[in-house]
Amino acid sequence: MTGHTGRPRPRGIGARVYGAALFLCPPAFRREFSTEMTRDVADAAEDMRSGGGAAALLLWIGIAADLAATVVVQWLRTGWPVLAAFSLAGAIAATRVAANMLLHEPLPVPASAHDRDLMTLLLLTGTVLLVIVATIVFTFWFARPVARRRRR
Amino acid sequence: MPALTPAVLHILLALAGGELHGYGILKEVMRHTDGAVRLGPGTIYGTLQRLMESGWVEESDGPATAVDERRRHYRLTRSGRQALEAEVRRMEGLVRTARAQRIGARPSRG
Repeated sequence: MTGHTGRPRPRGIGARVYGAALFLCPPAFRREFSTEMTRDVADAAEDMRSGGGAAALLLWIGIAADLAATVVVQWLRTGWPVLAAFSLAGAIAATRVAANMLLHEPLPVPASAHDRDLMTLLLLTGTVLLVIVATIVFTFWFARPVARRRRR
Repeated sequence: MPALTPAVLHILLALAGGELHGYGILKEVMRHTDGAVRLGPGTIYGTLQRLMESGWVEESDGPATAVDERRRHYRLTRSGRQALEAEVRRMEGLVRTARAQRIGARPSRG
């Protein structure tokens, strides 16, 4: 069952918006399926044209809900949200340890306001650096199974 | 083997009849559920991606009668068919159990 003609159908504005919204999906998924998905939506909208306004509205609500779920599911499958959460948690924990050490082991000389500003700046810089390092480490960690699959 | 999700089951069932492209799957699922289930494109292609990764579905050249060769067609693999058959057997067992409990049984006349 193919259910359509071989001629390419002109895409309506809805299908074009859908095609643009697919940029919310992870790049690998988008590269693999966005052309087919946009074409299917264009075909579904065309087929629904005779169904009236209510049917078309229901179709677009369904498509929007499906797209929203797809964006979430596909990003979760990439492992990036977990990666970001781990990186952030690691960086916050390290910063907390560093801050505690500074509080409990005072500097040999009394800290002036300028010193406190400098320490805050150092802590913030350290946090940013830790997030970057953690992101790199976890990226390699998550990329290992993918690289292994590609080598096979 | 754990029970298949509804989307996986519907897509495998649609492909059991022969190779289809994504929109063909959507229409076939609507046909065999009398319009009760309408899978969205994201659900269809996301599920197809997982099914291809697990080796249950593969991309095909499409049937010789395909009117649009640019469309990507998909078909069941042997292991995909085995998984579908196992799921149908599991569901048959469930239905038998339900019938034994007089659930869903047709009322006898007379």
